[in-house]
Amino acid sequence: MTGLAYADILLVEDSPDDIELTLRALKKNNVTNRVVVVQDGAEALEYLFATGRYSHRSVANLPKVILLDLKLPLVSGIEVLRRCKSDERTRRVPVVVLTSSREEPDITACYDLGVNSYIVKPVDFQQFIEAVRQAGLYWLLLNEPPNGA
Amino acid sequence: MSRLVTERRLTLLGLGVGLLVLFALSWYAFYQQNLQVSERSRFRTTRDTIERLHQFYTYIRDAEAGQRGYLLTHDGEYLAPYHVATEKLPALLKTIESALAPDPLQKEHLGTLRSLTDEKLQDLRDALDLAKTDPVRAIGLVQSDRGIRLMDRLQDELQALREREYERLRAADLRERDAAAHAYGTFLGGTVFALLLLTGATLLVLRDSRAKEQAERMAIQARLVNLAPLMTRTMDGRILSWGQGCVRLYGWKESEAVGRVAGELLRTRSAVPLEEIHAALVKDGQWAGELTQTRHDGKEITVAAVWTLFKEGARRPEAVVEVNTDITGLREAQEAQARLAAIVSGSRDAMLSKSLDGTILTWNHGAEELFGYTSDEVEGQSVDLLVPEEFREEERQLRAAVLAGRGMAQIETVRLHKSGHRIDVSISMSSITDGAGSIIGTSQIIRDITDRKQAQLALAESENRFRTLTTAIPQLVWSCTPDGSCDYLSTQWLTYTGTTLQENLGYGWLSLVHPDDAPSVIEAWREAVATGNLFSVEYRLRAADGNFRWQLARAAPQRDQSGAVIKWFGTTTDISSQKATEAALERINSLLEARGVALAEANKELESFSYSVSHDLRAPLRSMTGFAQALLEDYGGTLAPEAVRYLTIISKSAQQMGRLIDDLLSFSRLSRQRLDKQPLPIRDLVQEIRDELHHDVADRKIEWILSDLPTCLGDRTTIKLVLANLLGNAIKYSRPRDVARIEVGSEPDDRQRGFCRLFVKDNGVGFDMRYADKLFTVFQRLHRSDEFEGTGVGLAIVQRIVHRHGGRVWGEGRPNEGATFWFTLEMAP
Repeated sequence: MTGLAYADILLVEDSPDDIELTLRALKKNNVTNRVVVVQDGAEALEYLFATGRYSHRSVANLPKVILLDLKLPLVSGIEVLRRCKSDERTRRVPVVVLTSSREEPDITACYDLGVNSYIVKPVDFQQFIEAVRQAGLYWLLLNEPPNGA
Repeated sequence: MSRLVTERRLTLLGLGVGLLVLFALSWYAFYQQNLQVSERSRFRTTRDTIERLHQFYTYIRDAEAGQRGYLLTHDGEYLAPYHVATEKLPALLKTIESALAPDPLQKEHLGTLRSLTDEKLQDLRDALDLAKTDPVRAIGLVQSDRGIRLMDRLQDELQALREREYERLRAADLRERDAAAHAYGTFLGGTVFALLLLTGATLLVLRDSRAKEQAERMAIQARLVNLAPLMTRTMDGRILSWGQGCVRLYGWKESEAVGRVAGELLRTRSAVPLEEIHAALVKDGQWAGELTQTRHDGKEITVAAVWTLFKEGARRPEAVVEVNTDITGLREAQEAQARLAAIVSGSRDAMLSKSLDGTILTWNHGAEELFGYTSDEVEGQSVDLLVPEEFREEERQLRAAVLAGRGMAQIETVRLHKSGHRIDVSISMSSITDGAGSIIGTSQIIRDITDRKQAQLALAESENRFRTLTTAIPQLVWSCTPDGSCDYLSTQWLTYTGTTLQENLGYGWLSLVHPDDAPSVIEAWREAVATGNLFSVEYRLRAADGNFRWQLARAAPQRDQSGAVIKWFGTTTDISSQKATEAALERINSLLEARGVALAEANKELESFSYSVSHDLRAPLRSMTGFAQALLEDYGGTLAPEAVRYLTIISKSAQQMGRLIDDLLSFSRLSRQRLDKQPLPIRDLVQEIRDELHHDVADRKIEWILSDLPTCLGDRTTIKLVLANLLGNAIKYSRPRDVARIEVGSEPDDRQRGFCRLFVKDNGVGFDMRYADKLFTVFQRLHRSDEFEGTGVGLAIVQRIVHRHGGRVWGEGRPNEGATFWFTLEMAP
């Protein structure tokens, strides 16, 4: 999926297992929108700001939602979230953080930076599906963003 | 002058005439007296003659009666009166004749009387003679009427003589009366006249001397007036006359004063406006009051002024006479006296005066306050009223000493208050003398010294306390003069250092200070003395055994009311053991510090470990469950039932491991979590947990017993976790019961003050008390997982939370007879 210029959902996740399980959970929740997957923070930033490997893209083509893991290679999820929320062009994109446990001290930081939702990835897959449902992705994808992008 | 001369002549004339009249009067009185004496003599003669005439007749009759008696009786005894009569009659007749001789009118009667008398006597004699011879004839003679006729004639003659004499008497009486009346009138008139003359003369004399006296007096007055501070002035103040007294009083000469305006010259001031004084003067004709004036030399004086309007006949006042008397001295004396009186009456000290015998005469306000008696109650009473019995002799002696002229005496003693309680007082007694210098009584100034006495007592006590303290406390106590020189050391110092007082005084003690410390000690001491700041320094002091020991020396300055240092008080405390402890502590501290750093590192590692655990250990488990699930979902239909069971086991195991990891993490998180203590209504918390568990126990029959639950103090999240764990356990382990019975209650804790014991009791499977010590250990379980699910972390979490709240936790149970878990928690205030 790399190289796609346009996506409804940008999934930032390094674990191939989790990528697959997440996509499966989305499907189980009847989310059928186009998903672009990037596997580290640096790539996520390049995609969002149309630089490097994604310089051919237009920044204006923003995803409707970003699913962001926190523990990422190169650039951490927190940093991606911070950059995203502090840039005038991207700050209105809803960000849903995916994380492995409640243990992470970054949770507070995420909320401070303006995260829109928060999904704990439980060990039980059924529970994961339920969590994705509760995050209200459906509604995020359905609603037009305020700036009409 | 001529009037005076005339008056004097008149006076002399009056006096002369008066005296002449008086002389004439006395002569006249003499004359009258003589006249009266001769008249009286004549009067007496006449009266005697009348008497003799009566006598005469009596004799004759006696003679006749005796002769007849004899003739009839011949008794010789009858003849005695006859003889007496005949013997006396001739002499008597002669006397009568000589007395009546000057009166020619009586001559005839006298002759007749003589002849008749002779005839009668002859008759009597004849009869007697005859009786000797012829008694009968003699009697016959007697019986003839010749005797009676003779007697009648005799009596007639005598009567005539007497008549004549009576007449003379009456005439003399008349004469005398006329003469007396005349003399009386003459005397009265003369005397009055003379007295008038003399009175007039005397009056004139008196008048004369009085006039002289008055003249003298006027001369003196004139001189006095000139001496008096008297001036006259016009109505508008211009000075007309200026007496010598004014010159002396004001220092202005007459020539300087006359013509000036008095008020300006003397700079007259008054409490009353001068206009009012003027008005009063015009209205009443006089004004008197006090004025302040200034003399020529500039000195102010107070004068008592009497101003009088002077009008000679005319209606309009012509001038004002001012008499101003200097009363400056008097006023000052009065003020001084008033000040003294004010001091006495206003004094807080009692002041009283007594007569010689100790009777209270005066009593000031201070005395009223001190003794409680009003002056009315004590004045006139003996001073013994105030003196306790045992001090009366002392009082008498004191008084005697003062009266003996030893001036003033002062003692501290005890006196009685009206209410009977005793007062410590100091008394100054002195004698009172009258103007002549003789002692007439004593005065006393009495001061309440109760407070001072108490202060003295307290001071002595405090001093004693201080001495005792200095010997009792382990510290070495010392004091220094303000310049820093040591003047006192407690015996402890001497014992401690094994030195004598003399060796230490001044700066001698410095030789006992360790040479290395001496410079800093000297510097610190010098600075403290210079600035008056607290002195505090540590140094080593050589003890009696020769070893130096660490001391903490401290000293504070004692200051007087002005803030100046009057003394330094210091202590020196042996801190050698403290020093050793400090050193040990320092070592321990540095060790602890190192441990702390290690601990912090370990904590940090633990945190990152937890982070890794939650992230990295869970990810594979998620994959296991996720893909097992995917396999079941996507290919479940084609798998053998056994394969499906295996997949299920894989999935469940992974889930169990996930729970283990979660519990372990939350357990380790507990020790790092901050507790936010707040009042917790336990009943509400239990209710909340029940509501949350509601879903899980929908198929269970549970009988809840919630007794009265208190409000405790604790962190809401963690205490809720405790209760959730205990209630969860109770529900879990009572699962085999048809009806689970779960009771939550509390009772006061008897071991921890302000704590209560909460318990959760169930009727579940219970446990064997032999393994009770394993209940709260992590991963230790008393039941198999296939009997009751669980990770073995719950009670470990409970224990950790309760301990972090300062409480205790324990469990009681018997196999199959239920379990009760207790924990203690602080009650909300």
